[in-house]
Amino acid sequence: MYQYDEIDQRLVDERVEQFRDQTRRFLAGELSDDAFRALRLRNGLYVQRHAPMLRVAVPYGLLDTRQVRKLAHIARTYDRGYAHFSTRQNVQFNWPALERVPEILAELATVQMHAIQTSGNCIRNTTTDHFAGIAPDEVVNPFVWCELIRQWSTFHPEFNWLPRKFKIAVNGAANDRAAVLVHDIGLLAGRAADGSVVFEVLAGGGLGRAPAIGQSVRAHLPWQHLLTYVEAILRVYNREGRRDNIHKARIKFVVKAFGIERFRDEVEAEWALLRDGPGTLTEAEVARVSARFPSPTHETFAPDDERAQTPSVDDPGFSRWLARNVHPHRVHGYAAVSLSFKRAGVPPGDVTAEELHAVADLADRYAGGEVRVTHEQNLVLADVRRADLPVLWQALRGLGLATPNIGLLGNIICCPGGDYCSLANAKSIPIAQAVRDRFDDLDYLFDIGELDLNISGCMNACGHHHVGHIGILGVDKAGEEWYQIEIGGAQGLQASLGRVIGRAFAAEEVPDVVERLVQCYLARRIAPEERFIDCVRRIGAEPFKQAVYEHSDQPGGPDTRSLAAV
Amino acid sequence: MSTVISRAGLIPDLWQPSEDGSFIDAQARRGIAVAGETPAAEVAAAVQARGAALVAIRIPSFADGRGFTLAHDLRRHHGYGGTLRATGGCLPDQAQDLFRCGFDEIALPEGADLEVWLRTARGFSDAYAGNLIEPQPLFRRRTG
Ligand code: SF4
Repeated sequence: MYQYDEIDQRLVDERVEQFRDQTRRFLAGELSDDAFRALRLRNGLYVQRHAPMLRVAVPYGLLDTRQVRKLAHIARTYDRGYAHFSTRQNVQFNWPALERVPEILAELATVQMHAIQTSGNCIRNTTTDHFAGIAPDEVVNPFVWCELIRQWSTFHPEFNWLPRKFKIAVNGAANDRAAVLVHDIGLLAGRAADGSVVFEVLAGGGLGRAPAIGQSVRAHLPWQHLLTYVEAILRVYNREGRRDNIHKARIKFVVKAFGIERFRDEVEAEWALLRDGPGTLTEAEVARVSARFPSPTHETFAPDDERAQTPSVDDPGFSRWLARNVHPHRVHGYAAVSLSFKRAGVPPGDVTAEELHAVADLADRYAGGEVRVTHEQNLVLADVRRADLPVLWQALRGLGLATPNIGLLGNIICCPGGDYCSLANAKSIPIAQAVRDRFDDLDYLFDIGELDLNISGCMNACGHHHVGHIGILGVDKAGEEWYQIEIGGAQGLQASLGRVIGRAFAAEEVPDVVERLVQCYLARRIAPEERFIDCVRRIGAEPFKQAVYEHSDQPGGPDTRSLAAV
Repeated sequence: MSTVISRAGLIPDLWQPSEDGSFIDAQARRGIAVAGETPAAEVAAAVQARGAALVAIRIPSFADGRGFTLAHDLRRHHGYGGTLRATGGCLPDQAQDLFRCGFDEIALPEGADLEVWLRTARGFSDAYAGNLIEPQPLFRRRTG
């Protein structure tokens, strides 16, 4: 990750002192609940169902092992010994005491971490591809651009009190692994004919209520203009975003109300006033920021060098792990490895302090001391020599982190839901566990093939249910927890939003419903290569609806329409 | 009379409110009051029409950030060079950002703790993004 200089460090330290003072004023009764709420949110501190929740920023998902160990230390000292990876590449602690949060932030600052702008109506953590920098299909390494946006958006004096939260994602590869189409601003980095970096700028995407796919505002933005263009969009949004209705306050509603042409005109008019001004990026700054990312050293192997090959291991478990959890690397002889945090009996994305330490040790030994958090709530070691894969696999298996389910139905994305979150309509973690348990058989999982199943406990869609091939949404019906099922969603450049298949289900019905959807797919796919989502796209939702509802006991069940409007 | 602070600290309130909601100072210059959600072009036109030397922007609630952009727009896009004052519901923790967006002064809410306002207004030693106090973004000052 980017190494702070003394100015970066000083600003983070000053933020800790500011929050210490705010907490003191609040506890002394000098700051109203409302005011403190807004201020603590901008430091990642929610008050949840049982206790405060602290969301720590992991800029673009990148951690070094010193930071991982610090997170373990915080989990042990200030929490109940575990932490949770969020779907926005951040880390959450579920049980810190409010009075001790300034101390936690001070500890984080010692390893160049913070919780700045991880919640509240401001610009949030910029996210990106978890294979950034190593993916063979990469065109532009997005990290530098993410960091430039991070610095620009941190403490931006004008944009800290927006109508609603604001999320930016950057992708620089042929495949989109950053979900740029469902962000307030999505940036697709590419190269102009002369090799220089250009961005396609999308705006107005988002999950949550009224999910929308981002629309193109500018097709080719030369890199020098990245920050001024983003500034222009933010300014138009801060002026025009709705503040009378929190449910219509995201930028997507401005884009929708204006239409993309008028929205673009407003942005371009604003940008014309900023263009080539002091906010224009310089080569010197891009070089400075790049140089502050440690550059991994790779051994150079000849094409036929045996040490560049994956050693064979006579164990089907190893082959499965290679097939699902090991990913290609742009450097010959290297691979990226996913650590699956989707396990029996553990909420998706939860990690203990001991596991964090163990992962840090493995990362130091085998992966250049770097760990990445993915939006699928797993970890990635991005720089592993192929020769080390067998021993790493053994070690991960010993930790229970080698389940070969990346991309499969077992890799469920799931928000904290009703067990923790005060906004939830329904629990989500027990649903994830019930579905996971139903599909515990690896042969069966491999036969089903790629299938994303995402669960959110309410319309805020932190579990990204709209872009799951199967999406599950918790809804409240007369005080009871029900679950709506969507199919047909997908992330990536072919992103699509799932559609509700019909009436909602009780919790205990959900695994059966998923099973019927899967059976329907298996019966109708033309070949094993046709994935669930491809099949839904080819044959439409109707056969799936029939499969689900024709055996259903209550075809008339709770009214779908009113649920759909929840 | 309000308690008014600037970046330099406590300052005298030079402006007398008059009955129609506008302001006047000892040299008989005029000031106008506008709501934070008013479009900048409208405010700029009112400044022109009334020869205003003070614009007091009323921030309806600390959570409503339009006043920050309005101040920016008046300064940067409409060339307003008179005094910009923030009134209404802002928090001491916002003072530094208000100044950075182009406000010269803040009329403190009733019962405000002056010491807290003065302290928080100096909370951060620098800012990444360019702004009305320091137009050069940090990166230009870092790398020349
Ligand atoms: S989707 Fe809803 S229930 Fe789940 S974490 Fe987000 S706000 Fe909470």
